[in-house]
Amino acid sequence: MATRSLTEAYVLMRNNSARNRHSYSEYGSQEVAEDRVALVNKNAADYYDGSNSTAVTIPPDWVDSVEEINYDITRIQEKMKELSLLHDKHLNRPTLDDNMEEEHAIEIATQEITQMFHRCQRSIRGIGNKNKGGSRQETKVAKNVMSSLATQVQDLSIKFRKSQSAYLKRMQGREERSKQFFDNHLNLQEDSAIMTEENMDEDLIFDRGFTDDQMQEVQQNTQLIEQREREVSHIVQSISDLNEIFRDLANMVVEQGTVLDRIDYNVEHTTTKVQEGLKQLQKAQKYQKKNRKMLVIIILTVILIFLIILFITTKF
Amino acid sequence: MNVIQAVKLYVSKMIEDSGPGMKVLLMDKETISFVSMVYAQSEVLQKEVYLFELIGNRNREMMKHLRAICFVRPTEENIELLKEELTIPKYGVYFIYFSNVISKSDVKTLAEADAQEVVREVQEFYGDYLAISPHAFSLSVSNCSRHSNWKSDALKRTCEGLTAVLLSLKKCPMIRYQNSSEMAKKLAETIKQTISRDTSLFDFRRTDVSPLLLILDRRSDAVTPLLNQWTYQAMVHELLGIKNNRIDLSGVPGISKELQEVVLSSEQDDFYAQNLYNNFGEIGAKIKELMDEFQKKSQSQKKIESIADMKAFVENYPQFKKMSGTVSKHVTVVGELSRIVGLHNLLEVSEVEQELACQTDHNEALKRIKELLNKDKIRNLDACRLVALYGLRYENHSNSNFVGLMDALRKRGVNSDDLHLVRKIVEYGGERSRGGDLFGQENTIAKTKRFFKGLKGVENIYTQHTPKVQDTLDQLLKSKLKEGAYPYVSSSQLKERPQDVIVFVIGGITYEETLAIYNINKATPGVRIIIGGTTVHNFQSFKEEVSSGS
Repeated sequence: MATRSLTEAYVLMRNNSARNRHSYSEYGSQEVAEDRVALVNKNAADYYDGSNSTAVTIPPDWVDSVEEINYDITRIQEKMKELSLLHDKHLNRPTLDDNMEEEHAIEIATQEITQMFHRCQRSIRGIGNKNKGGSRQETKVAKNVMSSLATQVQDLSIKFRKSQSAYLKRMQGREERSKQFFDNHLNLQEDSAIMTEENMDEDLIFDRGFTDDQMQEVQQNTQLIEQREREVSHIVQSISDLNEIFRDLANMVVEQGTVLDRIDYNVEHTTTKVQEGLKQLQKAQKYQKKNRKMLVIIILTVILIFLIILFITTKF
Repeated sequence: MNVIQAVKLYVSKMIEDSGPGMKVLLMDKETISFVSMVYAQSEVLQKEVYLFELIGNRNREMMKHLRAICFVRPTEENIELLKEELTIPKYGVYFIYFSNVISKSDVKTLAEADAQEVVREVQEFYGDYLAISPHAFSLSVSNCSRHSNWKSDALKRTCEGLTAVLLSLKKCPMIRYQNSSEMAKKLAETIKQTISRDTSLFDFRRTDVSPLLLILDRRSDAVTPLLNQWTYQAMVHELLGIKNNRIDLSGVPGISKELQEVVLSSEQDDFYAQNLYNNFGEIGAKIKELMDEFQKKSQSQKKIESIADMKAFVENYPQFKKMSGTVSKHVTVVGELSRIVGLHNLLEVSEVEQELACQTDHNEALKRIKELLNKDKIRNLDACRLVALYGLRYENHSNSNFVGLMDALRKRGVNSDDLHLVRKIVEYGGERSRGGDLFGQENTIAKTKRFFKGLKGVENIYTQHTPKVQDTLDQLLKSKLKEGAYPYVSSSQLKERPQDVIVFVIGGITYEETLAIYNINKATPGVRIIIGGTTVHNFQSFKEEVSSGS
């Protein structure tokens, strides 16, 4: 990949020409009579004409939100890393004490990420809204910006969703395993109970119910299961939240490999659009020139005058 | 030695160099296709380039908050447009990249116009060609000759394009050319001159074996562009026409609106990348596989009842959507191909074509051509092909019945232009102008080779033909290519077996030849070959090339 830089030579030439121009204009002003020199240089006036309204030269409002979104995207990436660390910690190193704190942290992180996704989506949408009054090319830029950002956010959201569902799967797997374990445990106890029951009276068996120990265990289990269920439903909630964002973004993303994703196709497309517009304009001009209404009015007036004359001549 | 990679590197480097911020990419009509061949819009959007414009478009708006990257060819027209642009700059700062060597005086013109000092960089980035696949490029110069000699602007453009290829790959090669072609000699000498004029530019790290540039002429093998093709890419080009990886399907009956134009790019389409060199039968099987997989997926997409289903759906949705796009695209293209094949009896035609090109039985061939010429289903286009092939093959055969076949064509109602063209093709690629042994008649080794091939039987009667460039390269790699037929431009010669070879065909290459090169590259480790031509031909474009060339 050979390249050659001409920048130095270019800058040198530019400086030279600037110097020449400067000295030339100095010589020029000496020759021209003072009172004939315009206060504002004509070229300079042209320049301001060229960039007429200041609105065009100032970047549109949405440029700021682009930066915000970019910042949010990096923040989401960071948060996702944190979250996956938390997930790992929660799953691989279970502590025996109540680990509510950890779970709480996971919950908060998940919610934060979801919120940030929401915010990104809203801001991307906002770009489109803010640009409503923009010119044709500005709209094109805004559209491209939106599509590019949407692609990024979408990729991230897919990644996030994947990690969430992986976590969910592992959680459920763990739950099932523990369920299995506890079920076996109960059966074992029942078995042993049956063994002892043989010696007891039959009515006692039906009356007995659970022992206190068993009651406690059942309670603990239900608690555990409820807790798990809460966790699971939280995650499901965040996934379905993301769903919405996802659908919304999918509209903005241009699918790769289609003709819409070709640079030359898009540029050609706009030029043909412009040409079509020109044609329409010319048509409109023609219509205006024809001006049928005027023609009808003139003909009617002529007929009217003719009739009046006819009326006068026949009457008198 | 990957031309797609080379152009990609140039584009990404110019975007990187312009720093952070929103950018606009200004191109001219040619560079926009160079860039489009290697990058999709969504990929470039990720690099903060949010606007694409032609430099010739005069109703661009003032947007000072954008940084402009200009990637243009150094033509007079572009210099003029750039000058206008710099006098009244529309964007904040400018980074100018020329796709080829630019003269000092042009740089000066621009420097003088740049009174507001908006230009930050002026560089030469030699991405001055269409990268078709990693090992193939085109310059999209059609109709490059007149009266068997160069048109001067075509020679200039070809020389620029070819030196750009050399520069982008960092090769300063030895040059060999086909002796029988005046045009090849001229081009070889021009390239040599260009290199010696700018020696500092071509001063790369020396490799053990110096690279080789081999310049050939289409005239030496006029048979290949005449044949119907059966590998995917070549077939699509022959029957539908590929233009910068885009295919116009608007003529297909009952086409839906979003499929009127499709893109077949091995860079973005995995299915295409895997199958572009497979033959039509294999493609059918592969499409079937793809469909089955797709159906399985779409069935799983249909039932969304539980949360788990929903989750799976969303996770797989982007891939699913991409896949559905790929499936509908390829099914449409292959469907259309098979429709055309059936409609015009192309299998039958192709069998006779291959027989003509590869077998030696004159009477049998003549009989079958006559049979085909009497069928109404055969297109006039294919009838012309057959007669032209016959003309090339049995030009000097004692029983040659070329005149009789021409009469048969006339009776079919082929118009006089096309009749004339058939004669021209025979003249274009005839023995006098090709100056090489195309059908392996004189050479005893070739004869015995063919004899053994005949004994073994052919695997596929529709793909018997191998383009001549394959034989030429085989000989070159065995260091058996004759010095007399392919002389060096300079006095020094390559003693070792060449490793990096760039083949350039004046008058255009075909996709069959890119496939041949692909196979050689795959079969011989340590050898890297790149093929390029003034353009990529199918029969239609070859007809135009011939008719304008003589």
